Amino acid sequence: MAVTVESVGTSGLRSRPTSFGETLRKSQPAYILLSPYLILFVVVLAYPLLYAIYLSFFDATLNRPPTFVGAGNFIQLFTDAEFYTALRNTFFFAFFVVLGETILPLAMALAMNERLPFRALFRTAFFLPVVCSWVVVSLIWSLLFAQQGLVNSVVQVLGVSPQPFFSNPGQAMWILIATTVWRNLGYYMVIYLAALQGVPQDLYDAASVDGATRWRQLWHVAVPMVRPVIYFVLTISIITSMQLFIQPFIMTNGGPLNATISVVQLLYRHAFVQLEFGYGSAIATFLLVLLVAVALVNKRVHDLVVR
Amino acid sequence: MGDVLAIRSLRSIDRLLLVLFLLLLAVVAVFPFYWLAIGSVMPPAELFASVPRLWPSEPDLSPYRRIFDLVPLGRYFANSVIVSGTTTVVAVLVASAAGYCFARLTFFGQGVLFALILGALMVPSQATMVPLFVMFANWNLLNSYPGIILPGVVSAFGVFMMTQFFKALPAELREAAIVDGANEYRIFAGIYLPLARPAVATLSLFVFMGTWDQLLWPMIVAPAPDMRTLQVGLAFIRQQAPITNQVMAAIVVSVIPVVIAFLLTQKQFIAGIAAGAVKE
Repeated sequence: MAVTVESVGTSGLRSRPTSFGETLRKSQPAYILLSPYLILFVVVLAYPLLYAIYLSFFDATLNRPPTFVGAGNFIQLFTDAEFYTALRNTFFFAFFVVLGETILPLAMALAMNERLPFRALFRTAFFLPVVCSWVVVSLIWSLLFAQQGLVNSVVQVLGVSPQPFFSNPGQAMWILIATTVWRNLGYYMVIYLAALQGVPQDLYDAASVDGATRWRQLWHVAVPMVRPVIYFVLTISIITSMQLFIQPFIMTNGGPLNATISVVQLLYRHAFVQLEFGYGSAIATFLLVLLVAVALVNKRVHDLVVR
Repeated sequence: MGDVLAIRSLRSIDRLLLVLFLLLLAVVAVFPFYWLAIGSVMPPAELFASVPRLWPSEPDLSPYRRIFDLVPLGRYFANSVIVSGTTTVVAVLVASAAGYCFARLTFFGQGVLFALILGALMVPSQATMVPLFVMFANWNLLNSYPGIILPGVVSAFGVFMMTQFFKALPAELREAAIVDGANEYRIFAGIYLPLARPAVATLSLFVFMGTWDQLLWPMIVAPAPDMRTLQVGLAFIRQQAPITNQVMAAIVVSVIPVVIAFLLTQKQFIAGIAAGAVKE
């Protein structure tokens, strides 16, 4: 039996519980308030995650008990040319999208931070694509770049022969990249702008007293001050790009001939079209490891680079 | 200091160049919507004319009527509203309760649990979709609202955000209430939660828009025609309505509510969508 000591005062607030039973009892309200989230977390996230890793060692489909295949799925995955194509496509896509999404919105935000006319209109215009879903954005750009679509008409008016666009592997990928950057410009611009507006005026004043033009002030004062945010934009841009699915699914269905298929799309095909749950789980596990690795590397670079 | 001011600010020509730069990008951002709107009322012959037209010769609203005959857009829309609305309400309530616990209460295992939840932020949603599909198939949840809603109700980001917010509120409120004899649940629901209105609003918008825009999970778990959400319906629309101006009409109808909501509440809308970054 633990001996407890009542602290002075009748409110029942103790500064330190003196036994484990005491601790648990004091925790009760917290557990009750926390339980909805915890229960859902276990059912919908923790358990399925472990189940996914477990499933990746099996050959599993509907209406049949799963058969254990050990590392079979992973061996098949890492010797599958289609997998490497999907990986290559995803990385290629991610590289250029991240480049576009990190740099151009920063330039836009720097411009928007100045005292210019029509800023509110510009902000509305830039954010319009952001409020649309990826499905909508992908459909719009599919229609624009259709064989007989507006872009080909303009191209022909300019005297150039009509382009294959989605039938051409290179062009198709660039259209996907452009669609993605187009939609996200406003989103990242708003984030940069909020950060830029936190840069104190005195820093600019100090620089101008030293003779710096506005351009130099921006480059040497504003940009370094928002380095953490640049870093943050880089992070979410990388992570979301890796999860590419909707744009190729809607616009090209991974084609032509797998030229635009992404890793998540490969997962979708194997798991939900061909109903190969084990193999699909192997791809999902790979994606999980990849993204966790990216997040950890990111954090390490962050700690090194951002003061 | 006249000289310094002249150096410090931009010259007019620079200002003009910046405005032109922004204007060019703004046109690129907005033009596809304009084309969508006019295209939805133009016949295909005009739409695909070799010399592009920027204005319909005779606006024709029939694609709008036709698309509702071909495709149950109203049903898709209703499904999206039900799914997104329910997910938002549940997710925000659950995350707020959890956030309050981590912020204002002390309990056994607090650190470990919080670390676990933060770890969940690194897990991509696609990683759990295969097992969730198998589980929901076994529990008869396929093609049902709970099936679509359940995975979306767990928001690690929501917990994180509400924890930060509740931490910023004074602890004295709770201590005073305890002295007055209130129990923990009443303190949460009656004192702290009402104070959390701005955070709740921001998180709600964030969750709602995230769920509204989703394609992969709703498509996997509820592909049946009467259970499709708007995004799933749109993903398959070209199979059911091959004529371009009809597809455009469907897109316009889908986008209008969101655009109107955005135009009416721009500041809050932008804050909600960019919520992930608002931890400066």
